[in-house]
Amino acid sequence: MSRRVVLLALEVLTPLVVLVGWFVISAGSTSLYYPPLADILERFGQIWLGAGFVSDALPSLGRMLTGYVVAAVAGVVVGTALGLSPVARTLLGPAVEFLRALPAVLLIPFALVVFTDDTTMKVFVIALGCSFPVILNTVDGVRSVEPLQLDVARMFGFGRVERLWRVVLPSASPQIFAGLRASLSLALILMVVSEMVASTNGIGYSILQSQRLFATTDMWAGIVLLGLLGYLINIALVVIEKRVLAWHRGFRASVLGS
Amino acid sequence: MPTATPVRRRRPSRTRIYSGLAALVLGITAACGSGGGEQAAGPGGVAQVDVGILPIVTNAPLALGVQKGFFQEEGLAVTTHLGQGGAALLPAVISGQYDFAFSNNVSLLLARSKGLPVSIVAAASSAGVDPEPIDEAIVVPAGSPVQSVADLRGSTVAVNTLNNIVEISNRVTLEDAGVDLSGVKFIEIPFPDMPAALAQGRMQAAHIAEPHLTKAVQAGARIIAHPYRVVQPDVHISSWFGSDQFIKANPDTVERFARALERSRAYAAEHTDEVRAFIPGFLNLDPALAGEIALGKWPAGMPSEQSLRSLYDATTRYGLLDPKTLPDPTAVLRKS
Repeated sequence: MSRRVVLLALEVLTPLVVLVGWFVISAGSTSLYYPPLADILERFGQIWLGAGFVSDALPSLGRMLTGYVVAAVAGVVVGTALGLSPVARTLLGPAVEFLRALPAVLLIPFALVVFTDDTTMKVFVIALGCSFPVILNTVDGVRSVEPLQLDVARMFGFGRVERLWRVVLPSASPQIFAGLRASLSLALILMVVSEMVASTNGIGYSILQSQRLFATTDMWAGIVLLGLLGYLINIALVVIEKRVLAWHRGFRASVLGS
Repeated sequence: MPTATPVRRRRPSRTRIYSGLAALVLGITAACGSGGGEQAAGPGGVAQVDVGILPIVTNAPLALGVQKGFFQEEGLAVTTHLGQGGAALLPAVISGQYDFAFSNNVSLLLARSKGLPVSIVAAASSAGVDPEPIDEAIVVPAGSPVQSVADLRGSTVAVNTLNNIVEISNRVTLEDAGVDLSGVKFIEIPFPDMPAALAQGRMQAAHIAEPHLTKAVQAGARIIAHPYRVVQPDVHISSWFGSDQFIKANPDTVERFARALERSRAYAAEHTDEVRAFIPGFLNLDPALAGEIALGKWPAGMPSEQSLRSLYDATTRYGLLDPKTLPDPTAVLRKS
C-alpha cells in the first residue's frame, strides 16, 4: 500500500474512530451535560435538517458570508495599499497593529448602539474581525514580490495598474489565501458570538436559547452543526484556492523540480 | 541516594503518555462529577463555603453580611465569586465548584425539570406590591408613542436573559394587556447596554433592573409596567440554591448558611443607608446614583409555594416547561 493511500485512510478513519468512540462511550449516559451522541444526532436531525435550517442556519450563513466577503475585499485593498506604499505603512501601520489586537467581540456593545439594524451590526463585527488576517498577510505578500519580476514587467512596458494586476497580486495571492483561511474560522466564531446578543434568529441564538432552557442535547446539536459547517466551508475555500492558485503549484513544482 | 549506577534518561514511553492522558481525562471527569463532599469542619469548626453571586443590588445583603462577619460568626468562611448570569452559576453549583449560588426562580424550575439536582435553600428577593418602589420594570424611551403595555403590539422587547423569569413575566404582562404574543419579539441584551440601545431605537421597550433603571429614567425613559407584580403581587423572584448532593451531605453547613443569610437580610432591611453606602464599592457605582435607586425587597425564609406555582403555571403555559418532567413546583424547595 502506498503512503498516500495510508494517509488518506487515516484522514477518513480518524474522525470516524473518534465519532464511534464518542457514540459508544456516551451511550446510556444520564448526565445532563454529556448526553448520548445518539440523542444529539436525533435532535440534530429534528432541528437542523428541518425548519431550523431555514429559520436559523440560513440567516447565519448569509450574515457570515457577507461579513467575510466585505473583509476579504477590504482586506486585500487596504493590505495592497499598505504593502505598496511605505508612506501609507508609516501612517497606518501603528493603527492597524493596534486594532488587530482588539478582539472584535469586545466591540459588540459598541456596534449595538451604533447600528440600529441588527444585520448590519453583525456583519460589521464579522467583517472587522476577519479583515486583519487578510490585511496583514496581503501586506507581507505584496512586499515580498521579487523586485526582478517588477523590473522585467517595467521593461516590457507594463503600466502601474497592469503591474499590480499581473505581477503584484498574483505573486501575493498564496499569502492572501493564507490570510483568507485564517479569517474563515474567525468568521464562524464571530457569527456565533454576535448572535448571542440582541438577536431574533441564527445558530448562535438557537444555541443560546437551548442553554437558557437547560436543553443541553439541543445545545450539542447546534455545536455539531457549527463543527460541520466549519469543516465544509474550509473544504470549499480549499477548492477555490486550488483553482485560483493552480499556476502557483505548477510553478513551484517546476522550480523545485519535483 | 546511590550514585554509582548511571541512570539512563529515558523518554517517556508511549504507553506512559497514554496512561497519563487517561488519568488526566479521568481526573477532569471526576472533578466535574464530584459535587459537594462532606465539609472538613465539624459542628464547631470553620467550613469553607464558595458562593456564586451576581453583581446586582439583590445580592448586596449577602455581600454586606459577609463583610460584617455574620457568616464568620456561624463558622462559615465565605468566598464570593462574581458570575455573569444565573445560567452560568448553575453548572458551577452542580459540579461542586460553588456550594451555593443565586438564581431566579424560573431558571431553577426549568433546571429542576431537566433533571438538574438543585434545591432552593432560601428566598432572595420578591416583587413587593404597588406603590412600593421596585427595582425592575418595563420602560419605553423618551418620546415613545407607547402609553401602556397594550401599545406594545408587534414590538421588540429587550430582556437580560431569554426564557428566564424576566421573559416569562413580560409575556404574562403583555398577554394580560391583550397583546398578541406571536407578534412580539424578545431579544437578549445585558442590562448595562439597555439604556443606550433603548435610546437609539433598537427595541420599543426594555425590562431593566437597577441601577440601570434609574439611569434610563434619568435619561427620559418612562416606566409602563412592573411585570413581576402582574404575575402575582409580591411574587418571589429569586433564591439561593445548592446542589442536592451538597445539601444532603452538609445539613449543618446549610443550616448555618441559612441563619447567616437571614441575619444579613434583616440587617440590610433595617440599615438601608448602610446598604446604599456599601453598593458603590460592590457594584462600582456612582455614590449619588446609589442613593437614588430602588433597593427592592428581601423576603425572609423560603419562597412561597404560591409564588412558585404562579411562575410554574406561566412557564408551563408557554410550553417552556413540560409538566410531565416536573409535576410539582415545590419539588425545587429543600426538604428539611
